[in-house]
Amino acid sequence: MGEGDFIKKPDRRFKLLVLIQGTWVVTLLVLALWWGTLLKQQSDEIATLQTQLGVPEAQVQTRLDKTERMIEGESGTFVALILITNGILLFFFARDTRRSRSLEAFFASLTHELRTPLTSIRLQAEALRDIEDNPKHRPYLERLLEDAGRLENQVQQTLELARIEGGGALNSRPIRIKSFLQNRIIPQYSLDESRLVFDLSVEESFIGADGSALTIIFRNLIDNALKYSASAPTRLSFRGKALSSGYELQVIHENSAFSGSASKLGRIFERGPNSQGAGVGLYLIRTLMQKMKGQAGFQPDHTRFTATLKFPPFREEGESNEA
Amino acid sequence: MKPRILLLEDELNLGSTLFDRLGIEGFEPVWSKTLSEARTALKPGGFDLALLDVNLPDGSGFDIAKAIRVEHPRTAVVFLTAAGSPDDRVHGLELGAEDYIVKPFNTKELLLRIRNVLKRSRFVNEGKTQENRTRIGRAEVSFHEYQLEISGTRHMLSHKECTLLKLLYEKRGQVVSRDEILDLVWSEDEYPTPRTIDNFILKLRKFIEPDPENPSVIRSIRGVGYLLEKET
Repeated sequence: MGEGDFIKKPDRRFKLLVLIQGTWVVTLLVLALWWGTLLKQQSDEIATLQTQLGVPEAQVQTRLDKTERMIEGESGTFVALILITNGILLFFFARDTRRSRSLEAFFASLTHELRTPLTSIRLQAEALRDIEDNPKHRPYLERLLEDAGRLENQVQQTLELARIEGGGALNSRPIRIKSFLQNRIIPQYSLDESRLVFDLSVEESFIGADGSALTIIFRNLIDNALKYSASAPTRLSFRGKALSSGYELQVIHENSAFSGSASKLGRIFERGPNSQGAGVGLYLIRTLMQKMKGQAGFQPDHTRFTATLKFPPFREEGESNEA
Repeated sequence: MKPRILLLEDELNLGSTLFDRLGIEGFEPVWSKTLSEARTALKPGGFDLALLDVNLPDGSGFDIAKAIRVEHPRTAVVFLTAAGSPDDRVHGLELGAEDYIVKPFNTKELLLRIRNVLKRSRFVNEGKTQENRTRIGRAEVSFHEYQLEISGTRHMLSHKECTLLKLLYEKRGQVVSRDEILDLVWSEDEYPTPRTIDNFILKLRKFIEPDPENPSVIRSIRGVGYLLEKET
């Protein structure tokens, strides 16, 4: 399935709403019918009693007719209101869902289309850097590559967010966390030591995670660290250990300029415009960790920003009983 | 001899950059922009690796991967695509691809993965067993054709299955450790678990063991690795 295909999937939220609305409408209709029948019976009984008490039959009949017309009219209005209100609600919900899904599909398609030219830009910049002898030109090429990397990350994030919000699932598989960081993540940053320093103290262990999701999480944390460094070089420490409750990995950014208060930290988890632009990234980290049945916690203070990622205990299907 | 690489990429800028870079890095690339061009280029054979885009103007790279697997088993397939959903990856690997690289990627990563795939191919294709058929258990194995024959029926082997079987065969009579298997059959950036190796062994046993439930050709040596019996 391509990333854009989620638009073809039935919307579970819409189905659920229709089910709840349907139950609600049927319950109200049954109640309205019951109340109507009950009121009619009560009116008949009152009419019988009035006749027995000697009220003239014609007068009783007139009153009874009036009451029945009133019950029918009011019950009808009540039922019509229920149906119309629910219809309007469903119409607006369906329209908004359709708009939201079109928007998600548009972003998924756009980011998908951006991947090939982005790869081309990166490879051409890398080729230029590798053949460029003039040291004056190198900083420009390094910046070009850094920005291409940042753009790739944004594209990847948008695509993943659209995919997940469209109901896409993650594909968790066993990953050796230390090797993953060493071979997949750190080589993506070709910045020299005056810009970025990694300190890896991670116990090797299998974790159950989606490789693409994990890449987005780490790239986000590293890119955020580069963005919010108070001084160069940016220092990032990875501390990981296996616990009985799973695996805990801390990504610590010393000299962080991101010294948000608790309330600010709350807001950066919200999707949407944010003056510092950090909202989507951290929201996505948290969402991806939850999808992988893990947790993400963030602790900013004046000098450091700590991200704690907790992965659930790794269990391989049908543990190996072989060699 | 330079490794020959078929590059199937319809995007001109990316294609020409990759073509130039592969040439600079010591490969002999042939660039096709469409499926039909790739089919023509493949006819004489002799490619060590095919780097395939998936979405092409005249079809899907998945289709040509199936044809390569059957008609040119020595050519390893690596997908190079923007279609990176979990389902796409699984589909690509199920077609027998050696690797599945999602755009955007960087040069270092691409070259590392190409070299890992070629390392495995070289191991399978080198040595005395290259031209001969070899009997292992109940199967006649042809390593250079990536296939084996059991009672007249041919079965294709993936490059990883073939590499693993060749490793065990080259060291028959000796215990091959899990680490040795991991080092040769899987790349540094792949993450197999003990269970992954077991699954590959299980599949090989189904082919070569007279009784796969009671294996006598590939024996498990608990806590160490596997041993292919010398006299099989």
